[in-house]
Amino acid sequence: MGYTFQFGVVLDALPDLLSGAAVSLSLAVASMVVGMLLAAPLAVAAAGRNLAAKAPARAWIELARNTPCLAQIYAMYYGLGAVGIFMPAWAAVFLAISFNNAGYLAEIFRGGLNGINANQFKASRSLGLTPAMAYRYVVFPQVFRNTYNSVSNQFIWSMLNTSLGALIGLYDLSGVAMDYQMRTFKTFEFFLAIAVAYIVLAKLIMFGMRFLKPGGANA
Amino acid sequence: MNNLLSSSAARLRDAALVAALVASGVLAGAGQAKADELDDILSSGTLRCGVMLDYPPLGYRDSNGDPQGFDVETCKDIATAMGVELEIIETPAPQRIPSLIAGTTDIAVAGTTATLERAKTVTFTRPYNMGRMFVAYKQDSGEMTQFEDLKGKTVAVVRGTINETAYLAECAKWDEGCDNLSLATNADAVTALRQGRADAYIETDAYMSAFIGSPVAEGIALCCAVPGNTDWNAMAVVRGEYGLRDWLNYFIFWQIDSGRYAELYTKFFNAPAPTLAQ
Repeated sequence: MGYTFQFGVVLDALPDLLSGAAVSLSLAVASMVVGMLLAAPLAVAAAGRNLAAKAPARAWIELARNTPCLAQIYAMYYGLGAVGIFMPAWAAVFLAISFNNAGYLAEIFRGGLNGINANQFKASRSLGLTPAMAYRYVVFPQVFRNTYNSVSNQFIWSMLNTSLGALIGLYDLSGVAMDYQMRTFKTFEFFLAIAVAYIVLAKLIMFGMRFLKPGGANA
Repeated sequence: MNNLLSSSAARLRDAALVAALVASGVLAGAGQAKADELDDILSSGTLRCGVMLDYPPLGYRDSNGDPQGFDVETCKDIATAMGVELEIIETPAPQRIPSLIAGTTDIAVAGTTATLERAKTVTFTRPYNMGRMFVAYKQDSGEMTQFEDLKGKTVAVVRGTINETAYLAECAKWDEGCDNLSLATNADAVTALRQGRADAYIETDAYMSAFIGSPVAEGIALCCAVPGNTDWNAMAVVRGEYGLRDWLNYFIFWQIDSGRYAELYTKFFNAPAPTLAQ
């Protein structure tokens, strides 16, 4: 391959790449927070016996986990667009990845719930805690601890999935790279650069997650 | 004693290794200097031509799934003139250059706009075709007859294309400013226009001639040309393949001089051929 790499154009594009990385990371964090908030009740509903709650929860989890993330993003952007609901690219990506995260995290939490002795919930109730309080103070702290590694993986996976937003015009790390590679044809340079950038972002997430680990960073 | 022996044996082995490396380097260097890409194509007997097949009438698939279009016919003429077999390889816009550099294709005849920025990465031939940029608009957004009617409207363009550059250069002069919706592909831009997410869409006449009048363009009409912008299309080869580039330049010269360019242009664009810059 008689090709000379020239990274000068990548350095020129550094301000745009950095702001693109900020878009990628902030979308990943926001959709992870929303995903976790949704996943907890979804997991409880999916594991429970109340069919009115269980059926929609199962449907959400199955749909989120068994359709491509790209299709979910397109559904938000073009699917809702077909009925006249227009949202900017970042909003469509945020909603789609939150939906996706909620489905995957609910399944992770459901596994975590199975690992908690059911008598703990009963004991909490007998001490006068409401069901919500029992989950909030007794059950889920243990679920988080047991599923910590899987949740971290899902965080990184969803951050990488935000790159699909570039296809609907999101100016994230991938969007910036696609823009510059079309204009300069320096495909290899830009995609090598963002590969490194995504690794750095993933490591940042792993680093940040250490401080959220139940029991502290060294537990 | 053992140590001495083994160390001198190691030295001998290292020397042999260095000699072998130098020899292979010299041979490889000599080989490179002799045979260029044009030689490789001629000796392999096959020209691998990268074409966009999602961009009618430059490249598309007919009802049998066979590649057709202006660029495909041009590739056939090149292979015939070279006296080799032709292999058409589909390369969507973002894959045109990576597949060239990776050696999957020999040349790109893929409606590529020859900008000075891109010419820092690949070697372009002289222009083999030209186009102009046109504005299509959604009729629900109100009639548009001139380029200035785009003021205050949302305009769909494909990110990184000459169409986006041309729009951004013009709208920067307006009080209303720019309102571009930059998407990844033509299909995305068309969907955005059809849904009313964008009021207008800028593409080259090549694309518009196939798009307007097709079923997907219902409720969409052609407005006008983008003033003062020409889309010069050139073939691309790996940078530094001047032998191949020079052969293609002569090919393009003869293609124009023989009237074959005008014939192909009229066939696919249904319009008289423009005069190409010399």
